[in-house]
Amino acid sequence: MSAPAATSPRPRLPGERGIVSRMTLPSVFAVLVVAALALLLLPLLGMLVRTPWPRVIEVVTGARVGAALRVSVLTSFASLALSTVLGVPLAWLLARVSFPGKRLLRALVVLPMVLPPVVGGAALLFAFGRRGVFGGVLERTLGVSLPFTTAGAVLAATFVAMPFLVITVEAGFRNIDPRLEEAADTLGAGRWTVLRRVTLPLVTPALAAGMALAWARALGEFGATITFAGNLPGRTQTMPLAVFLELERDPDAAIVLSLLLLVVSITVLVALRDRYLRAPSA
Amino acid sequence: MSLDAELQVQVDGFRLAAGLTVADGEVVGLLGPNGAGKTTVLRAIAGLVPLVAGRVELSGRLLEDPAAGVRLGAADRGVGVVFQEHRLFPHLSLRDNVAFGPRARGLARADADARALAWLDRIGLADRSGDRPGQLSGGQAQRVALARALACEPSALLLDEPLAALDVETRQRLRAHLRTHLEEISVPTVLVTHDPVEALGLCDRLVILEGGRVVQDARPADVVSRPRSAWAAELVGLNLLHGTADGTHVQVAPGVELVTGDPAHGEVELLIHPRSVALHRAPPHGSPRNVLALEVGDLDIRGDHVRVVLHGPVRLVAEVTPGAVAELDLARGGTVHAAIKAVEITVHPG
Repeated sequence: MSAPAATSPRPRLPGERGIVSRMTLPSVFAVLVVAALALLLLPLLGMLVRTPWPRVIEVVTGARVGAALRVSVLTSFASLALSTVLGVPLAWLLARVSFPGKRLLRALVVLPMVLPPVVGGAALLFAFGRRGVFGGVLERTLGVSLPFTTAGAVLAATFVAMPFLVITVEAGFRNIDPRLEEAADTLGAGRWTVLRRVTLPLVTPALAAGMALAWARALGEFGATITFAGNLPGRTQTMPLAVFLELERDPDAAIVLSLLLLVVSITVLVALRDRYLRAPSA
Repeated sequence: MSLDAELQVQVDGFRLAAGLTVADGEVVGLLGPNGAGKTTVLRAIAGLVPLVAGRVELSGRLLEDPAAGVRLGAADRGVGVVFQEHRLFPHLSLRDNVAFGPRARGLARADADARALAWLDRIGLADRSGDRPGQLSGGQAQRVALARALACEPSALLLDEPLAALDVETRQRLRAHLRTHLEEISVPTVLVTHDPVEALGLCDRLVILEGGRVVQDARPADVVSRPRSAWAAELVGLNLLHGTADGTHVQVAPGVELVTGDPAHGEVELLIHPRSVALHRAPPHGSPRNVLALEVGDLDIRGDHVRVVLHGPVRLVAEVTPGAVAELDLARGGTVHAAIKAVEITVHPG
């Protein structure tokens, strides 16, 4: 344990317990903080107030909402599986192998996180659309057509969700002490055994977090999906698309679907609480 | 059958060129100052760093020979390594840690588990087999690390300062423990250490490494009585000076001559026990014929005596009583006259 003076940025005043406890908030800040909280909380409050509680069961089990729910569960989990299978080796490459152009590759991998999803959807269309660069070849050779199919919705969701998994798992790989893998090597473990019995188990916590993030992102995906896969009920209409549509048709259904997505989001956040809800320690 | 290594390694501008031969059942202590390349020797033998030239042979098996294009990976060498930090797998139980090697080498799970439990029993941790390494003390973890390496039934055992990270009391207990195991095993063993007690108490032979080269390879008793480098001399508590002898006059630094009892010629090494270096405030008169004016450096109190490090044209360590320190008013930076009787200087051909 190091002395507090060594880690604290400034010496504490006598009788002072925490940095905030003796400081009064400037009044301008107080107003802005209240405004910020209002901005974040009032929409959620409004939704809860307007929720047609007696109709919740009826709406969720209704045909249209039920179909959206089914499509969302299917596409989000399929996208999670695809993100994991493709993303973990990519994360390993970025964390462990040095090669020219690695910074550029990482930038490309992260790009979908900041790219407007609509642009992602358009790009997918230009690449895998019927008249796209690769879409035509896919259709002629394999008979596979992706746009406006459930598979297309999975692809769109994966495009925006996989970077979250890659970045999180890459950090996980970096945090593994390579000396443990070296020790495994001296114990007679070949590369595959080291990966299977040491590296992957140690990256599991980061993998779980990356999977939760990627799944949540896939579940909420809107722009790329509607652009590339369209809005076909029962095939590509996911819950976010249904919310948007039902706002016009049946606001109650929109609210119930939104509530459902909110509950899922909070669940993911709670599951990841050790990563995101804990204040960074000084 | 034995370990026979001729190692030439290049790591980040550091060049190691060292030969090492260890017989079956022999324990060789590898000693040297920090950065001498001790750990690199172990890593090269274990296959964790490649040779640029030389060869490694174990029990008649060629493990590596760059000239012949032969290089076995660490996993295929059958060389057990115990690292300074235990490096136990944090996500595996103690049983699975010890069973890791046997399983990786193809033993069935049940057999590997049985062997692991037998080892945990031998090191007195059978009741902790389900625990994770994080629940162990440093000494316990290092015992498990040793068991993990031995459970693979290695053809050679390499220990890289296995006790260095432990507190003094634990280190003493574990040293006895380690000796028991080292006496039982019949494979070549190399122990890197910088603890003289470990070197003298556990090793059959000592190899002193400095600057990537072997400067001495001898029985512990010979290193103690006749260290061949200043570092080794200090390790065993002696002063070692290099000089050029012309009869009983030896030049040890430009313009500095010592008179010895035994005549010699050419390059020589002089060994002087720190107790033979007498300190005086004023230049002494009478029988001692060698007097050097030197600057007082560190004072190191060791029980009933004080080691005084002296700097000047030569570096010497003197051993005096605490009373003498007070009487002479010795303090860092002061000047003192060191007197050495000619007969107290042992002369060896260099």
